[in-house]
Amino acid sequence: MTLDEIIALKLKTLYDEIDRLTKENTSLNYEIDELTEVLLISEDFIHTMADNWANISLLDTKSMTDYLIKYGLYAYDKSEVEETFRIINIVYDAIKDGINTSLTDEQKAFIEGYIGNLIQMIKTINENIELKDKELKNNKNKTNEYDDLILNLEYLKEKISDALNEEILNEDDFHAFYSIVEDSSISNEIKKQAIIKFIKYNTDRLSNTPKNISRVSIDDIKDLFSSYGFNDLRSLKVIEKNKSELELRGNLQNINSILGFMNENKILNKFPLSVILSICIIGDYESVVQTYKKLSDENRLTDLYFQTPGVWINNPVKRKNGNKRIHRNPNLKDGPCSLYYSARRISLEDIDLNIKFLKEKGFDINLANGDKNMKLLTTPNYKIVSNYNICRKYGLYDGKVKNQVLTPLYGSNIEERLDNLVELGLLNGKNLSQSIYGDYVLRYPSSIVTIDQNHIMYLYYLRSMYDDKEYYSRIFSKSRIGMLTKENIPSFDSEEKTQKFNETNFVSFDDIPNFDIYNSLINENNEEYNEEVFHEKEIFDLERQFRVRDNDFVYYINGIIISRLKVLKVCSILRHNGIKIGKEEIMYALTKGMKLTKKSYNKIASSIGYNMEEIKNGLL
Amino acid sequence: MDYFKNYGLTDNDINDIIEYVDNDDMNNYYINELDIIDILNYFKEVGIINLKDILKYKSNIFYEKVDNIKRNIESRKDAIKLINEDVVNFELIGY
Repeated sequence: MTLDEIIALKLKTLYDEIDRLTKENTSLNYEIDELTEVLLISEDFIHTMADNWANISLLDTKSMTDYLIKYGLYAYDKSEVEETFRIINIVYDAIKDGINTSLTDEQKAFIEGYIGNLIQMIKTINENIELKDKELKNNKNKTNEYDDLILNLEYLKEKISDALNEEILNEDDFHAFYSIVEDSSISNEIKKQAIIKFIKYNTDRLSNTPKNISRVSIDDIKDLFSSYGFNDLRSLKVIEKNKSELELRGNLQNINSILGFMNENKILNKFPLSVILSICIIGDYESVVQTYKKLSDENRLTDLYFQTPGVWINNPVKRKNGNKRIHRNPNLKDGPCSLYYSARRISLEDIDLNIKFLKEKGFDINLANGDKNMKLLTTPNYKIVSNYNICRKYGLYDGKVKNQVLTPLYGSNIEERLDNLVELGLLNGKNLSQSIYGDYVLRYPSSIVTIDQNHIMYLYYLRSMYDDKEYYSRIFSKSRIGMLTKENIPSFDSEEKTQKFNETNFVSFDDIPNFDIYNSLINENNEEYNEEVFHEKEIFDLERQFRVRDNDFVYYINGIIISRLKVLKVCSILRHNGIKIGKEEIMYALTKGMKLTKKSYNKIASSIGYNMEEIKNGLL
Repeated sequence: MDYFKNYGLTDNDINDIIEYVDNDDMNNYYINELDIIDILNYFKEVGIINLKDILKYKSNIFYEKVDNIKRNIESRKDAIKLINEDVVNFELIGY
């Protein structure tokens, strides 16, 4: 067995185990939901009876008795119980009609016993739910552990099998590999072979022994594709464009088996050719068959999946923090302009998570063909979830706006952008500006992505130069109400121009001695603000002096809008890193990410009483 | 992305786009060149002029099929006029 075959063997056992755990979790979740429903109904029953036993006529005793028989400890005779309740109801009806009668002691004892048994049943159900929750949690922990291991083993397997990768196997690779050595289900002979091959692999890399590359000729690849009907000029152009990658990574037998399967199942022509090429160089027959079976069984063979190569390849889910190796693209040298990148961009699991998440949040996603949401659905799930939470924090997607534009969900660094837009008076401007200006971003959420840094820089400049009326009249269109105009924005078409404008007009924050240290702390720590930050005197002062009525998003300091969420977050991170929040830290937090003219900077500094010279001399 | 030059973009414009879009967009522009060309040709044909802005700020559109884009643009009479004013108006047809 080759080393990558041994790794594949281990991976198979891990994938099987994850499948088993997933099925177990689905069934546990179902059971917990069912028990919770019974619990709520039973508690409701008891509360209603506690108010007045006469309420019994309003309650569904038949279902309740079924639950008691199924989940309780006491063996009830259903028809006997129903008969007793029927008579009790007659008694209560008679009382209601004014007849002087009451329940017998026996009937009272029956009801008391029934409720007692219900209370006992609720206790048992609660214990059961707790046990199942524990089991679910254990399974999830195990799944996460296996996921990490799978990710590392997949990278290791790929590193070994990739003809273009000459990196040596490092400590991370060895940790992943060691899971094979530890696995008691793998024979000692295979383990021995694996260790020898692992060492040889590194010896070869260290001695610069090239990998055994069997380069495929592009003509053979073209011939093979031609035999499946890809012989038109357009197809040949696509193949030729990816010549070097196909020659190095292609394997005619593998390509043929994939094309053959797609052809047999009449799906070959549904794929764009570039997608097929990506699948053919990274995927294999097995992964294509598995995906086809899954999508076909679930009636999901739609354009969205045919246009996404990663779906057909055994790709692990991308996670931002779960595993540091996710950031280490094993083939960075290929960069994004490669079939390889295309194949590794997204996994089927990521897309499934996206669909589930977006549906849960109430977004109307067209899954039939992915129309309008192709990029969104093929964005790693962690990014969508994180961006959604940020958007919610800043007031987007609150269900009030009908037009739910999803563009911000795949944007990069949107939190910083949102702070900028708040400070430019285009978002969350309640009680500061007319809503047509102050809620611009809520009306056009994709502006979070379409307003670039140069535009933002110039808007900061205009904001510091003019009063509100003049500022808004300059940046909004005169002909189309409520639309921004770029007419007055200079074209910063070279880096030099931008730099010059920056240096001429804005301060460089030299006045904040720890500016660089704080910047690196903020960049390294992405966390939400902590309520404890309000205990800081400096924050207390900001809240007292600069809050705007009914507006949780801004501080308004001497005519300058500052994102409150930004300040709270920055100060929380600094605190968390053991930094005392004083005037310097507040000045840093307030001005972070802003473009400020000297005049605006001084306005903020004097408003909060920040003077570096005085701080240095110990006067503040 | 040299093929962008066929639509009046300069080297500076292309660099500007490359610096702005993410790696996935870059991959899309590279790998699916012929599909992107179909979309750009359609935009040009119907009189959409701010192609650089679309490539830079509305890269999501280039993940879609040209026929779907056509159908969505045709669904709103003033779509082209509005898009030419500001690409943010792609929102009005769901992009």
